[in-house]
Amino acid sequence: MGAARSVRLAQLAEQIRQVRHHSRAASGRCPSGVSELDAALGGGFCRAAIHEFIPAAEGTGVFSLVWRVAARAAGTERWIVAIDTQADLYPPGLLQTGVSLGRLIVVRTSQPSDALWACEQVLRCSAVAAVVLPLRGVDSRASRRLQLAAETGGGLGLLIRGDKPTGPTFAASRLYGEPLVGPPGMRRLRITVQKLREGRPCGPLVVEWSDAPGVVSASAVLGDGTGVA
Amino acid sequence: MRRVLCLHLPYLATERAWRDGLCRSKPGPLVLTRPVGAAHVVERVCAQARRLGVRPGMSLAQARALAPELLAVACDDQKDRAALTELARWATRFGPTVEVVEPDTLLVDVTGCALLFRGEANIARQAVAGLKQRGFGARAAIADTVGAAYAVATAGPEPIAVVPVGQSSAWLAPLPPAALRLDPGTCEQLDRLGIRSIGDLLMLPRASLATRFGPELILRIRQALGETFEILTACTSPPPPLARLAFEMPATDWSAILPAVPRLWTDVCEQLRRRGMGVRRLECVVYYEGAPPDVLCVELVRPSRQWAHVGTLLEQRLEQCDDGLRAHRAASEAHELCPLRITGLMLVARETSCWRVQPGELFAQREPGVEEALDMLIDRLAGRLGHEAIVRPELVDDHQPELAFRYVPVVAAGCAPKEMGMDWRSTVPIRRPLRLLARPVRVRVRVLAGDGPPTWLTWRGQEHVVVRAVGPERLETAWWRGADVRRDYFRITVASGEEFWVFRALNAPGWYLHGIFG
Repeated sequence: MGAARSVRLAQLAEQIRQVRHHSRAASGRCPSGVSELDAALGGGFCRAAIHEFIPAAEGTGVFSLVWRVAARAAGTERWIVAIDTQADLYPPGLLQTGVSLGRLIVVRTSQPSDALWACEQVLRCSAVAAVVLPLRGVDSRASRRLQLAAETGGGLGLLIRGDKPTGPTFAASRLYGEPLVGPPGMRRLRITVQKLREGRPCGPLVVEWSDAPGVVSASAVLGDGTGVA
Repeated sequence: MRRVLCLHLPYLATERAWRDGLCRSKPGPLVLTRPVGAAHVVERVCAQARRLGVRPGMSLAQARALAPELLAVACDDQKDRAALTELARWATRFGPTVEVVEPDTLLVDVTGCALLFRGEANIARQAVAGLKQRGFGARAAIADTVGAAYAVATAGPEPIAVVPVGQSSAWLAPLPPAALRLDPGTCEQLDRLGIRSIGDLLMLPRASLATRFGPELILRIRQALGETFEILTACTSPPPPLARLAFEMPATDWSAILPAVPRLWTDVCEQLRRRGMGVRRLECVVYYEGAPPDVLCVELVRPSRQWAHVGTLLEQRLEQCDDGLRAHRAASEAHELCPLRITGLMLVARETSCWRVQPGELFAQREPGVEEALDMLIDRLAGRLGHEAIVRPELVDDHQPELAFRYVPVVAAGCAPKEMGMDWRSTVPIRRPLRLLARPVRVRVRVLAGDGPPTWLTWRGQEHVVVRAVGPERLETAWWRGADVRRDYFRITVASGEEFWVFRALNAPGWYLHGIFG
């Protein structure tokens, strides 16, 4: 009886692994354009998943990084949805991150419950490549719901958390970003990968990218043309 | 020269009854009756019954005596009106303005339309043929005036007549005066005086007619001859597709009512399909006993006929309504009042627009494409958060940063992807922050040079030492907008690595933090 059960459990575990692997393999990864970070993440942020970003302070450059990822995820075909919970999103500033404003939809809500609900709805939609949601905190139940929604829709859920979470998360990765003073025209960020579902979390990693208007990053402009013309 | 087409349908009511299948028996003489006291009085007769001598106003028993196999059905004015309105909509193919003259006539302004049909005779012929196809016998006349067209159509010698321009009086002369749309009393009086035709009437001096019969008769004569212009009142736009349900027993519970909603939708959808439309705004009206109705509204970005989509949106709304009902029930139980009871439901497609068939949709269920998936998402979001909450950004060519963009609701702007192309802003070598505070926040700073950047600032209770500053970028606003704004912006990097966008107001000295390079 006991042996049969453990065999059954092993089979189920294998099935789950296969299903997961399958969905992951089909959806692929979205590189951020910052090579060191992509290497640490194993090729970029995996799609059909949510990712948590935790900025150490207000003006760190985490937003900038997140929007760059979103711009690359969307390419020229798909949409980005921003959930503007703090009513401070500034579209002219987004241009410099390579986001095409013609393919951006902004959801304006200040209620955390509405924001999470909207985020889940958006993640379920296959037309949306990435959703950017700054919010105070996410409990594990909400995080689970968002992750499942992302698996349905195949997009990227980019959550920028205002709290300092320590508990478990269902997100595929959790990145902690501290600002550093970079050389002129560059943003520099020390990133700690606190959680990585497929791979090992790694210690502080200093990344930098050009913040000049019209330059997404050195490789992006020559690459798939997602940069601002 | 004005030309008017008059379509007279003398047997509209009975033909409508046949069409509706009210009497499924074999064709025979038919009358529509109305109960008056204990008896039934004949209101409308069909052509066959008329030939047998049955006339409106007889009692049903009298009529039966004349025609033993007579079929009798109750009158339904509302249905007759609806049928006539539907025909009016159809008749707009002959002219832009169609007036409905109850109970049985349509007037169409066909001025200048003859060329499109290769002659006025063709207009009249096509109209009569079209009506015949729809099951209605009609007489048609085209003349210079409404009065003349009406008279010739109702009383003229031929079922299809075109009165040449300027010959109205000649055509009118042999017709009975009643054809001028006179009231029965006047007709009777004229008859008593021996005036049997319009020609006789026109010979009499107008002044004496006016004193004897009042201004109405003169007006009708003048209208028929074109001396007074008569305006055609276009029949109002068609009623929206709707379906209604009244409960025999008022219900207090939603579970009893919800199954009815998809049924109503099937009706509405059928009407939409017939019109080639999809719904843009659907209203679900819930009627209560002794309380004003609730109107639940669902708006869509793209016209739809899919219950799967519309239904989920409507469900959201019904749930909210259900919560309200429950709260009301709890309150009424507390006060021992009668709970709110639902007496009926109505589903109305309040706004519709052309529905285009997507390739492959006719025969198979298709996976929704990117655009469709997005539209459905927007409908869902807007259903809960409101239309103003789902927006798209648009850049505005304005120097004042907070006015350099605006949000347009997606429902208004549509969600076709817009190509922004080269934007002047992306070539400006000054960076803009990702986050802009709704109102600039005053900060305390320390400045070394008089018009230079700050070296130190406090914000949200934290002190920051500035290690780098880029600027100033002077922005001045349009003076014609009122109080002018002049600011020197700096992008500052503080020791912790954070970057902020601050400015010094030049006309009211002070430093403000405006944006965050997040």
